Amino acid sequence: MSGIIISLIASIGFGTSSVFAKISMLKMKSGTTTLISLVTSTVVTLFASIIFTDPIEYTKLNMEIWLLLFWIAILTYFFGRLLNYTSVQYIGVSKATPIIGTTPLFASVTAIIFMDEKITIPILIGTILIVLGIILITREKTDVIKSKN
Amino acid sequence: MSLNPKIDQKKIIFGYILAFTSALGYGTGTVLTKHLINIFPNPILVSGVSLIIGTLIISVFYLKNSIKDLIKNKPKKEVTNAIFAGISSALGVNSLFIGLKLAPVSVASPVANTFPLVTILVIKLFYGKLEKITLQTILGSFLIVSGIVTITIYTS
Repeated sequence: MSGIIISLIASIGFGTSSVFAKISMLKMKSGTTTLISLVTSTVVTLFASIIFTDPIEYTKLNMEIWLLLFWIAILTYFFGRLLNYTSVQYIGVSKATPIIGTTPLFASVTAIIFMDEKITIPILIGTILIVLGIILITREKTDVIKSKN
Repeated sequence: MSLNPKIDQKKIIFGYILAFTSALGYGTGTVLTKHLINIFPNPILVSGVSLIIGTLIISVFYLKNSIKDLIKNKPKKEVTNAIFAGISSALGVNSLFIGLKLAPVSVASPVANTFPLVTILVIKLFYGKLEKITLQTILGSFLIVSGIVTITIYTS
């Protein structure tokens, strides 16, 4: 039960993040909002890592791990968060967030292409539902958001 | 609202392209993170160190402009909201990692992926003036979340 509650807290965290970002971009550029939010996330996560991680773990980071961490940072924070917030500025949080929510679909496609995972019927059904949802959202008239960019 | 519908349309298309590219970035980043956690099973440390690298990379491109932005616009409430965005995001990532330790992936991951519905609920309840939310957007979000839940339940 506690696992479900904590996962629900994760959902609330992810769900409110873009709303706060949207409010902050009423007067700031998306790059500024991304930078401030990243600094804050880093401080919070490092604090959590002090509580949950033995400091000796840091010494186990080798060259291969550093290289992977570099690519994860590029993909997740440069392409992920920066473009997430910028898209919120252009199409609004209620339209951008469901599209960002399709991330597990992209993860599955990447795993199928590069990690030889198999396409299953649930993946196909899920993909059809996601595509229908995207069609519904993108076909709707969008009010253009005043952009700082 | 802009007076030129063609420019508006271009901005909207550009916004959608950015959102899909972002999802692609998060998606491929997730696959790499899963791979890394198999080699180095400490998700919070992985998250912390990748955040430091991510902050440094964004700083290289945006620090100068961000300082100009802050001096020019003197935002106060907006900076507070950006800080809250960072806290919420970190809360999301770290709670998910802890949730995955306490519950099976087939339960924790679909629950965490309902976040687009949380966004819509939060806007509807607290920030009604920020954006208009239509029935079509709500239905579309439900379909997307249903699809994601289906994929994550059966692939985990």
